Amino acid sequence: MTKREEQRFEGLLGAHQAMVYSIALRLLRDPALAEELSQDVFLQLYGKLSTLESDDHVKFWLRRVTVHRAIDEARRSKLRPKTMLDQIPEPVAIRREPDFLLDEKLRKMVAALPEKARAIVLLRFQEDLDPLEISRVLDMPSSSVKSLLHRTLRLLRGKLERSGTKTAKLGLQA
Amino acid sequence: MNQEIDLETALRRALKREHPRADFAKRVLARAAERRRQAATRVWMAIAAMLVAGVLIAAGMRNYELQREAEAQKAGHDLALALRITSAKLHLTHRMIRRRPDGV
Repeated sequence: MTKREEQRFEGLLGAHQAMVYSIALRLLRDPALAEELSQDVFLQLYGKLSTLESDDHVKFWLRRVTVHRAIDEARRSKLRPKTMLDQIPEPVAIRREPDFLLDEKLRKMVAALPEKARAIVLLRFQEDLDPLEISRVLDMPSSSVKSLLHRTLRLLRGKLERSGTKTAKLGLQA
Repeated sequence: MNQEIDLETALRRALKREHPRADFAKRVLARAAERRRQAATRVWMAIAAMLVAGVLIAAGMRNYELQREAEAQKAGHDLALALRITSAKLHLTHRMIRRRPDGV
């Protein structure tokens, strides 16, 4: 690897470490495992950098490899939700719910989703990708992405509403 | 009365990116450097293995040549001996024939 490529790698590492780590963390739900997987993904990038010309290509590659490896790892480690979405207790409705409680509740709900649905929600709301981009990352038809995203959001909305949090009936931007 | 939320906005907020530990990049770079060292070591080991293999092959070929030379030399000696024995036998036979009185 040339000095220039080394510098490029360092730049990409700094720019994308939070993205890779966050995807791994939310799919694996284990900070140590997520960090190890993130390191492995960057080392894989290190060996492959000369074949990835643009930074957009690198970003796409990183998302794709991280999601697939994390889903595989989650399935291998039997990290399927120990608490399924339906088993999460519905908290007592409170008059005004602080944001951090709602965030925590949402994160738990997302963590309890099956891997594919979780990956789609992460790529949509954490990475801000549209369904077409998500379909490219996950190798699945964009129509399947849209319908799974729609179903998942309906499920989350229903769960939230049952817990006493009203959600605005906005059209899904899927 | 419950607060009404926009689920998508709430998901975006809840699923904000998180940062790994501060020394994450340092550790990745250390592992990359280690991998580079290992790759260099593997290259040198492959070169050394090829050199050793080359020396062994050359030595084997030289040994084979020496063996063939020794065999050829031994065959030459055996042939010379066989010719000497044959010559001696012929010489003896010739003398015996010449000694017979009837000359047959």
